[in-house]
Amino acid sequence: MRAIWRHWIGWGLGLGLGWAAPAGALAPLSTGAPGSAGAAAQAAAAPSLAGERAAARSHLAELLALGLLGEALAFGQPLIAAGQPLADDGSLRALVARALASAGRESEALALLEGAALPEPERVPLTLERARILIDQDRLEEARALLQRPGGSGLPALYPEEPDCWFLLARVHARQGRLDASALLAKRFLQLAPLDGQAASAWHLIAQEALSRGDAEAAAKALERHRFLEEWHGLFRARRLQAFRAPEAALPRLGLGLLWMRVERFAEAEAEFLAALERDAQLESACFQLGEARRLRGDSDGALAAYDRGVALAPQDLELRSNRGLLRLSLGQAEGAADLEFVVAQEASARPAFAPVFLGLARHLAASAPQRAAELYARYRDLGGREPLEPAAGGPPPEDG
Amino acid sequence: MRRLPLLPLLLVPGACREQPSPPAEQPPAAPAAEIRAGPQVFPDQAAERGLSYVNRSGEPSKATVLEANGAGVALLDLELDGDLDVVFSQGLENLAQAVSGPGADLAPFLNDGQGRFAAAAPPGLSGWWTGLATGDLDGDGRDDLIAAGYGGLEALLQDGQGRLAPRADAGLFPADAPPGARLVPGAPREPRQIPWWATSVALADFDLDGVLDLYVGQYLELDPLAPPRGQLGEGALAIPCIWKGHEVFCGPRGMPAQPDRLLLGNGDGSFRSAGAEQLPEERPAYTLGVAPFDADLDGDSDIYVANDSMPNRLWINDGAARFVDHALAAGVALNQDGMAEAGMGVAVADVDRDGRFDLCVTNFSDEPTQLYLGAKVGYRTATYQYGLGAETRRLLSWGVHLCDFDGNGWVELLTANGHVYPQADRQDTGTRYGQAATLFELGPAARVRRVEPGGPRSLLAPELGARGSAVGDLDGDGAPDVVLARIDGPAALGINDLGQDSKRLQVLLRGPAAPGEGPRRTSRSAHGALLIAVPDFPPSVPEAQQFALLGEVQTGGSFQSASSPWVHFGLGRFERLAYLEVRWPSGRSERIEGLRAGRRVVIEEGRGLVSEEEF
Repeated sequence: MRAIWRHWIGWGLGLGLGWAAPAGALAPLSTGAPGSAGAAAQAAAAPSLAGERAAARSHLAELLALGLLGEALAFGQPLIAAGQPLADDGSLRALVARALASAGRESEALALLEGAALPEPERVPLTLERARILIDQDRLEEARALLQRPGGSGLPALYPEEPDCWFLLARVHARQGRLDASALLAKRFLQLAPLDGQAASAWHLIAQEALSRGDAEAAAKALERHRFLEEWHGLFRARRLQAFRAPEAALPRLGLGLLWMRVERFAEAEAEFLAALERDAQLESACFQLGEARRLRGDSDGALAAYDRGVALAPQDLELRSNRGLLRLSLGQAEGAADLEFVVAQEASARPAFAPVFLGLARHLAASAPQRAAELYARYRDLGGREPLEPAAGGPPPEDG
Repeated sequence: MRRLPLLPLLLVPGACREQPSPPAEQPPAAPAAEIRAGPQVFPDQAAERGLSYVNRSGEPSKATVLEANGAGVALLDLELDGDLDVVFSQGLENLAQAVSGPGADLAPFLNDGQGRFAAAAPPGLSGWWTGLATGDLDGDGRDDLIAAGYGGLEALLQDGQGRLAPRADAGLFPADAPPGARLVPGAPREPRQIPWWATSVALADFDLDGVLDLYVGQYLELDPLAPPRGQLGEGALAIPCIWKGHEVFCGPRGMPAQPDRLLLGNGDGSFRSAGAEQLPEERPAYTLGVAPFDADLDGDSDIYVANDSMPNRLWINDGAARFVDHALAAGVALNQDGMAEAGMGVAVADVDRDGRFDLCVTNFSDEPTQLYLGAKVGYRTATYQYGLGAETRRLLSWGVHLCDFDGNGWVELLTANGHVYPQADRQDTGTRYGQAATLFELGPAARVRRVEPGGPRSLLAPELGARGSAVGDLDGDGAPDVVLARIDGPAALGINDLGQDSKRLQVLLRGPAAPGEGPRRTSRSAHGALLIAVPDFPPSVPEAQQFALLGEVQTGGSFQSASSPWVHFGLGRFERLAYLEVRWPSGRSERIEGLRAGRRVVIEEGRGLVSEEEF
């Protein structure tokens, strides 16, 4: 997947989902992993133990998300055995309980959740996990009692800082037939965790409520968001599984980076493209995408470095030359024109995708070579471009692409 | 005249029609008769009654997805003697045999009227057979059969002696079908030629011309010469075929799906392909279950399609066999969490007696059997309120029936179960490979209660996997029995002795022998006719406790199977009907008054009650 100046048409497919998650939000490949409740206790721990906790949680969550149940149990159960340094970690304990429940050992899971004598912050993930199991057992009222603040005023969720609490409560209400309450809770969940693994389900709950009101337009919008997220998470899971099974392979990491680009998470995308290049230094497409991720983050120097590396590997690559040239011109570096001249001289550039190159070069030459600029602009129009030759004052670079 | 809780229209956006009367409130539950069974519920009497079919479905290790899906079963009258005979489909020892041959044939068994069976001559097919559908294809008054398979699809017409014979040139594979769409065991075959794999098939008169049409559910592209093993794809981007960490056969996810097909009947046992505009939104999907029914109660047959790991479909018919999928808007495409589940089988009935058809869809393990109740708009998920989530999520279920087995006026839920992966028996999977069939009471408490088997011979006892299942009164006692097509083993025949004090009525509808002349006609086997049975309530029964029962003539549904064309009504303690209203596909309505329980009646359009006999 490549694009020229794709930034200007947006990676989020125009869904306006507000992908940028707030600091401390859930990890994208959610496992619905227990969140930040144990953060205070974690922060107080020795740095080495805190790192160990984080790594253990992350690995266990990944094993569960990839469906590697046996491996998850083999990894997680010893960690929380009595006397082990991480035995007091509520999040880890909750993940092990989830693995046990998935293995059909729900009574063991509940015993693990209910029998732990942990300090209050560490108990929150245990409570949420218990509620999840009760929901699976159709014990909806019991689950609701665990999740909902007693009394009728204020925030309904007992743990309002925990996205999972909102989502699970939404699920309880939906299963009990209260779609209106379910939709409200799901919306709050999405504000907290728009890219969570359960976000697609939350949008579906919202769609169902809209359908029940006969609001087809709202339902269609919510279903569109649901479909996008469902597909995105499916692809993400597949790429993670490929990366897990072939940790030295570059292509799964490249695929993961592209998925992050689709949801405008450029920092995560950059990390994956770098990981791909660590595994295959000759992967010029990773250079191009790395350049894109950096450019879209506003790191122009880093982007140019990535494009340079790519062009060194593939001097004839039109996309690399196009974006390097356009970026250089936008930075006032006139040598960018050479890249664009190279591109427009190639037959393969006579495609709408390259229209911005003709426009960019035409604008660059408008003052110094107006006849040549006019020819390039005419070709830009032939390729479907609709912007004027003269850019609006302070306006963005070409937006076709 | 007693007040009928009139059928409220199921409003499906864009496909609705105004119903003249407002929806009635759901009446309070009438006192229900407890299930009173013998010591064993549905005792399996297949062996002593001669139903000696033994399924073959590939290797025990289940190396390919084809081997996991097992067979179907059909109940139909093969000799015009008024009883139900049984036909099973059949697979092979392994996938390679599907290419090399010899292929399998169907396995028919003839009923002596008392529920004792003898194997009959098979029709002479050769293939790997899966789904079966029943109905009168040529209007001669005899039940015929469609046999679907992996690269096979045949129309079998019944002759005067009760034998089924394949109809030549039935038009089931169009002339422009790709090479290899039909798989003939033993015939030369090129690599990368992909058979059309039909799973569940269903007959109904979709265009209301008095001739049965055929919906063919198709599954996925499996190359018999190069089935995937261990992983899909190659190199670093290969996806391992694993489930809960165990290596299993590949599919369906990651394998190309095949589109379903609609074939229109010509009235002589042959078919022609419907135009693309008739299933305009059809996209390839892993279809496993197909159930025609009148979803919007507008007099034509719509179709619910259960897809494996893809959204289910609710095809709404405009009366001319032009369909639009409304599943998503109707709330029956996905589960409540928005996930596509692994739909396997479908059952249709009025579970809550509100005058709307409800749907039950069986799914994979870790996914419950879903119950969707018809609502004013679309459907609402009732799975969890009924407690079905907890009861069924460990099961992988296939054949499914919503049927009033105990005759108390409320339908029960029966599912045939069994996992696809033998690896399910390994540690920490949360499920098992062999699974017993399950029976649940659903009403009147709107909460499931699992019926215990009561003994080892019960159909519900042995933890053996089953796939197809069909329901019908095989021993002539008026109570619907159950046939299970178990996988890799002997079939089961569960004789129903539930609710022995309950009053029951069986109805067989027949379209006119001579085709009608109106724009809409009823097929000879009356597929799609609606029945509304209103008991003759004694004055002591308050009006609020009175009810009506809704039925429809459809033999399709369940998984790869066809059930009895007889419509069963359980009347509880009520001795007779005030009336039975029949709404024929032709648009005519007839009302038969005073029918008594304990009877088997035949009603023909335009002629009314044509026969009646006691059980």
